[in-house]
Amino acid sequence: MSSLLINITVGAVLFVGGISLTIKRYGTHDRLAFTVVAILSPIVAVFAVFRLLYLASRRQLKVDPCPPGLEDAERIVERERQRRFGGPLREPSLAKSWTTAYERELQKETDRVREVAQKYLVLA
Amino acid sequence: MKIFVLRICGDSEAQAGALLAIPEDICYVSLGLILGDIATSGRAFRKNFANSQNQVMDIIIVTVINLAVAAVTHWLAKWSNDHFKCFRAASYASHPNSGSSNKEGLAIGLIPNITIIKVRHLALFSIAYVIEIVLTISWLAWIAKVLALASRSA
Repeated sequence: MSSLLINITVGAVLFVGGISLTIKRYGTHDRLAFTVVAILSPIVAVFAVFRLLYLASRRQLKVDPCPPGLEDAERIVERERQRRFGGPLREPSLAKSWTTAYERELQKETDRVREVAQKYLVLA
Repeated sequence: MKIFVLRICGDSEAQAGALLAIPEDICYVSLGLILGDIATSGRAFRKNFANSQNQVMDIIIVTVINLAVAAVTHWLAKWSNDHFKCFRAASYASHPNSGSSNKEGLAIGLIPNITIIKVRHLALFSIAYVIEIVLTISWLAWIAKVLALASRSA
């Protein structure tokens, strides 16, 4: 039990220390806010996975539309990354996969509505 | 110590690499402990696998597992490093006073989108980093436990 506690403490110290130092050293602004976001991210990710499974099991999973201009923003960030750190320029992926997921969601919704409409048409 | 030395040398980019490579370093510390135990008269792993019929094979398997942990950690470190660079690039792109060449982002009002990208990369970096730390700390703890039990029984 005590060794587990030591492991958790050492892990937490390394994680919080490493994240805080990197963001403090290399962040450009809002360092404290981004440090808090980074530290809480793994916990939020665990909750998000459980919530995703819960919503998927109840068929309540909803995808919001992709914000306009996300692809352009991705390109700007990618250009900045290449300018500062080198490497090949990569194609934006977040906006594309978000749009695809939204379209798939819309398609499913349309199929559902069509199914219900056909049932009512048959009954009528 | 490594970060301290790099700080004295004034190598800014190497400091970021050193901070992100802490879990990988831990992995090689544990590999060093295993190899050190094999090479010297410590024999902690032989004592740990005293009931086994093939101690040599067990020690080889432990070494191979350590190499596998190192490979997984390296892959995760590469992934987290990449996301950290993207986070830094997004920070520079969204901030007018950070010396960014991309001013069009501010002109067309893409700041909220850049913030989405920034938070996404930061979260992915953080998740990869925590997985690395959990993996390497657990492994090092097991190695340390084996060595401590052997030294206690000696």
